[in-house]
Amino acid sequence: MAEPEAGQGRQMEGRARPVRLPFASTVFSQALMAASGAGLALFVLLHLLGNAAAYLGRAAFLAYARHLHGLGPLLPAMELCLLLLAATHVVTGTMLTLHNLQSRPLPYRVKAIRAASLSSRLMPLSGLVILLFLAVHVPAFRRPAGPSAELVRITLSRPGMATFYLLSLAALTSHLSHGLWSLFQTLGIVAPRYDQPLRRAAVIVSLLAGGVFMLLPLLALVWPDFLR
Amino acid sequence: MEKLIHLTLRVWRQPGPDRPGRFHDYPSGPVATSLSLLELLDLVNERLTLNGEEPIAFDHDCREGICGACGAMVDGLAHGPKSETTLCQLHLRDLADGGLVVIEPFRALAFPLIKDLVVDRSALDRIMAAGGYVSVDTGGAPEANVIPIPQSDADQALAAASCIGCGACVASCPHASAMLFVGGKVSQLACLPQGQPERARRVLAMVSAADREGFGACGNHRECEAACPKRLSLRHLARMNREYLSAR
Repeated sequence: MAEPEAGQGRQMEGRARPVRLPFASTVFSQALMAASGAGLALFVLLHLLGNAAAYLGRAAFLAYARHLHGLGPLLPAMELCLLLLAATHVVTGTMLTLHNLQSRPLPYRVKAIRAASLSSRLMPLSGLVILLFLAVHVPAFRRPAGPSAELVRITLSRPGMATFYLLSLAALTSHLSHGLWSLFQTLGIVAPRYDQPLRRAAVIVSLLAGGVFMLLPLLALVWPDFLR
Repeated sequence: MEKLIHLTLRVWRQPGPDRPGRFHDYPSGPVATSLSLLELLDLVNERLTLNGEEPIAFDHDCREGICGACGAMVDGLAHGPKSETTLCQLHLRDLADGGLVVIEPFRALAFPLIKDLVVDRSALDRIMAAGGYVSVDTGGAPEANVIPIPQSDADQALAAASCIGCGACVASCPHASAMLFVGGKVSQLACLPQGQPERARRVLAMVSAADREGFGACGNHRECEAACPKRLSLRHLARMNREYLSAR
């Protein structure tokens, strides 16, 4: 008897579907997502520390900006690293999402959820929102000598912009709350004993980070003298 | 006196893979709560047959939760609302009197529909054929204590080996991923000495077979673990990821 071929009879209501494979395998692609995501999350936490300077007042904020831009060639090197990490994350994520969308051509008419969190199911969507946010955020504040306190206040005190920032930061919080735990599982570096604490820590860290980030547009919106 | 309840079964009917499907409602009439849902389907089928209609096709075999043959979505959940059971172990006492029970086949690109609730799960067999075995000659049975295996490794291997291949993990995964199924076998054999010689080759071959079949990627939603009638832990999936990355 002939060996059954892999993928034989792959028909759903008469239609054969091509399967698009991202990179070497789904597991390798997920590992790329986890590793690049870890790098990006590390940057987000560093960025958070910088932003926290703004809460200490105008002088602290300007001192932080001056210090950052005094790093010399280190700064463009870091920017290039971030760009590579982001590109890896976005391209691999897009390919995986396309692959996953094909894996169930006929959706369930009735589907209930047992364990999956909302944030885990929203990963592609929250990722897309963060990408759109970066397309606005980076051109708005990337200046050769760092953003001035006035630029921050004027930009974020516009209600439309502040709302956009708050929604995007909510997406970032959601993305991190799943991603910060998921990356350990994907890279296989978690002992079952630490699984529950790690999940809780991921949620707490992302909520804290989201809260501290959101405070900035909120303050700029309601307090005319912010950073003056 | 045994308790009787009334249910309405809304069952997916589809004569074949190339024919359109739709839901059909079947009132149960008064039925004893000691019946299993599959026994209620048997009852409905008897009536359909007597009326000269086509009975509902569904997979089943041992009806005691160990063979992995049965499986369908009940109210949107693989194997129904009761946790750590297969469909055959779902009884009417687990369902609400007077309720509507929606029964739909497992859906995935890699599980093409054959008829009604029956889907072709041979993709799982092909993943197993790609490397889910030990082919090295291990000789005759050695003296029991020659190869020491830590109890925790033996326990984990046994837990991983409890997979019955029903496909509930795939059916409930938002990405229709089979990685818990793959992870179970990879983890089981990686824990034991017999699995060592083919360890790296096995994980690469099984993952690539799963990708070829059109299963999705694991997004760590944890739906598989929650739906698994044997409650296979996500730790096996993490071990598979580790095995895969170190094999490359």
